[in-house]
Amino acid sequence: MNLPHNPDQHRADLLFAASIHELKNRFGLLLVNLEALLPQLTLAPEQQGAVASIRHDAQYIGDELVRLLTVFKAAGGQLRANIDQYALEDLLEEVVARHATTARATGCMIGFECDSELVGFLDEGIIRVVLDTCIYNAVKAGAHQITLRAVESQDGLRIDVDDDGPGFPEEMRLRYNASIDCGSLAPARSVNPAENTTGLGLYFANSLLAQICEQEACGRLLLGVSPEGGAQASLLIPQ
Amino acid sequence: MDLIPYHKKSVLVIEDLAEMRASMKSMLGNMGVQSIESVNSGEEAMNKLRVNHYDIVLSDYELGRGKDGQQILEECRAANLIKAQTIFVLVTAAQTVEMVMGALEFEPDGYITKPVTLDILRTRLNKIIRTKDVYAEINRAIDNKDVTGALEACNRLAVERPRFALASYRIKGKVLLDVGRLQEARDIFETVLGIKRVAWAVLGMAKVLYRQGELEESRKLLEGLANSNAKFVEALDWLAKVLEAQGKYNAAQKVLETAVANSAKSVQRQQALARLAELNNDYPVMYRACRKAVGLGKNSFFNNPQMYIALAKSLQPKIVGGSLREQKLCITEAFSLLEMARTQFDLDGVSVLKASLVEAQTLFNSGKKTEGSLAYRAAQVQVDANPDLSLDDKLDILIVRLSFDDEATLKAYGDELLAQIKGDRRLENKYYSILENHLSEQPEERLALMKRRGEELMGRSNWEDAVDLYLRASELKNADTDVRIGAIKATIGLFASGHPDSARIATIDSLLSQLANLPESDARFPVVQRLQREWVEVTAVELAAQS
Repeated sequence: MNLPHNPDQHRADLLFAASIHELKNRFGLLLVNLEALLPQLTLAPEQQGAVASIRHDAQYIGDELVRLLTVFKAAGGQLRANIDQYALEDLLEEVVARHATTARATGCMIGFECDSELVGFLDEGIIRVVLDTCIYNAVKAGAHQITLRAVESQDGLRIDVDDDGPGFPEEMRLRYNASIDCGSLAPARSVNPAENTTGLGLYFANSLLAQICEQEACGRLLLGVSPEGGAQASLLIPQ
Repeated sequence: MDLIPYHKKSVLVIEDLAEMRASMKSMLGNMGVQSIESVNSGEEAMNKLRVNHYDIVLSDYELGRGKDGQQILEECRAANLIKAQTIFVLVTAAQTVEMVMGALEFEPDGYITKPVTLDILRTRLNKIIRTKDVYAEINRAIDNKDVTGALEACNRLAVERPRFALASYRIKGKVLLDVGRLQEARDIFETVLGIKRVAWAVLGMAKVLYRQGELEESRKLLEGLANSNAKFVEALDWLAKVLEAQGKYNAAQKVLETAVANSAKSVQRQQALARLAELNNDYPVMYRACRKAVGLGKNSFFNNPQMYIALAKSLQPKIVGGSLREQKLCITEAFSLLEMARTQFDLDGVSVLKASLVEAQTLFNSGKKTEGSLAYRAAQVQVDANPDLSLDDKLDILIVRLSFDDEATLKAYGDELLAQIKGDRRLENKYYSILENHLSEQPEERLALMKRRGEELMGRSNWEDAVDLYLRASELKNADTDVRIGAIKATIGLFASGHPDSARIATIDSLLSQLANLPESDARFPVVQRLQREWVEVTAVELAAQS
């Protein structure tokens, strides 16, 4: 997506953004009503599973709309990182709590590990969207266990999303990292939606992280192998 | 980790949807809370908070037509209805969280995003309560108005728990600002900005600079902050204050109009906009903002008589020029607003006076000229006898006097006022703006006034205000060569005094090109030639930097 130069394109973009915004808000209301309704219903045990699945899908759509809007804003140069200091323990705990519905619906265990004193400078909204992307990717790939790990590293702050799924194909991982390492924000050729459904999501997640800059360094998303032998997505956030 | 004794906590739930209220209460009950009260609007919440103490307030952000959750928090803090130790949590739809977060001055203790499940509520509340415990000592000292104790507790926390160091600086900066220890506050914000450019520290620094009179520096910080993120409405509020102090009333009004478009429900913001619109003689905007302020102000801590008096004043153009029906309605409303101001509030001397002056205007404008003039004379006696009037008040009164007094009386009053102002930059700018606006129907007199003022400013090397004034004058329909020369001279002065502003370059270039056809026979021709050369010199550095 480039900055629009022609007025019609610009108007179309505005309409698009306003429309996603509206969808997002309406969807939020729908979820609130759903949550208000559910406690009033007496459901059989087998129906509870369906409810968990509805909640999960609903949350996924909501998060996806937030991601879409954020990415759209970033592409139009409208997204500005709002940096403040956060305790990583609080942040990760909240993300994990929000994904309790994901865990219940899919049977995947989601947890986090982090020193309780660890703090970092970041944009909470951006990090949430990127973590959501990585968590949904892991769930889709069939992980049974996802662990968020935050540590201080040479590059600044590092948050790993580790899973025990099949992991990224090695060739894709190497190509993706090589393209990110050489500063290219375009997805590597082999990482495209036709070959791998997660490619574009990772590319956009990386471009969001790149909004968080400290002097010359900007945030990045790199791919690796988790300690469990599955996929590892590492958010590197300069401090 | 110790268990949190929820059975000892009292909670107020503010939620407009009955089902959500019930669900929140049942979840809190599940967690062990025994004392739960709930209300369905901000107004009811304020009533409860006025008489009861709660350990935790859980408020939905979006509460329908009345106050939103953020406003409840701001009002509670302003009115001291909740202690620093009280936990205030905003509940927001995940989809609107970006709109809600970003409060820089009145931050809640935490946010919980919907849909709220028992898991989420428990996890988030546990965390918020444990974090609040970390600040317990500081908050106790703040509640006891023990400034030294609060500052010492902040220092201890920063040393003992580095994780909370920055947060403790934030509280420290706020406490120091509140008690007017500006230099110490400045040191704190400077330290933080040296570590990281976080938004609250930029705002804090801008506030210090504003109060220390470094307006231009403050303006730059606030503009940067407001441009960095549309949701930093507070940055716009402060930017308007700074611009107002600089006498840039039009710019200040524009800034507040943007702020109101982003967030319309603040009484104080609407009132500030109304006041600026009044200074700019922009009665339609003044009327709309006053109307909003009065609507929002009812049942609010921020309710005050000034907004009723101002609304009555803003009705005057409709009383003079509206349809017959409109005139009738507005006259009745203006009197009833003044009556409300007088009966609902214990008016101070200045407000009594302002109400009397607006009453006189209303009578005069509704055709009762004699009664109006008499009422005005009666008010005038009070004005003369009142020793409490600030110069700002006297300038406000000047606006009214302009429609009643003859030129000689006005001139005497104006000269006396100017003598009292003694060169105070803000008040002087305000004085001249009032006259400038008053003369909008007399273009020649207005231009002459602006030229006199411009020369005076340049004589004092106040380049910044001179540039603003001359550029404003050069946009008038009757702008002439002298005004254009003045604008160029003043801008050269500004650049040469070490304050180049590249945004002005194109404007001055265009003014110079307008003067290119000045005949050689014109006495001002050599002046323009000289200015042309000087302009090239002072802009050379700027242009080189740009390229």
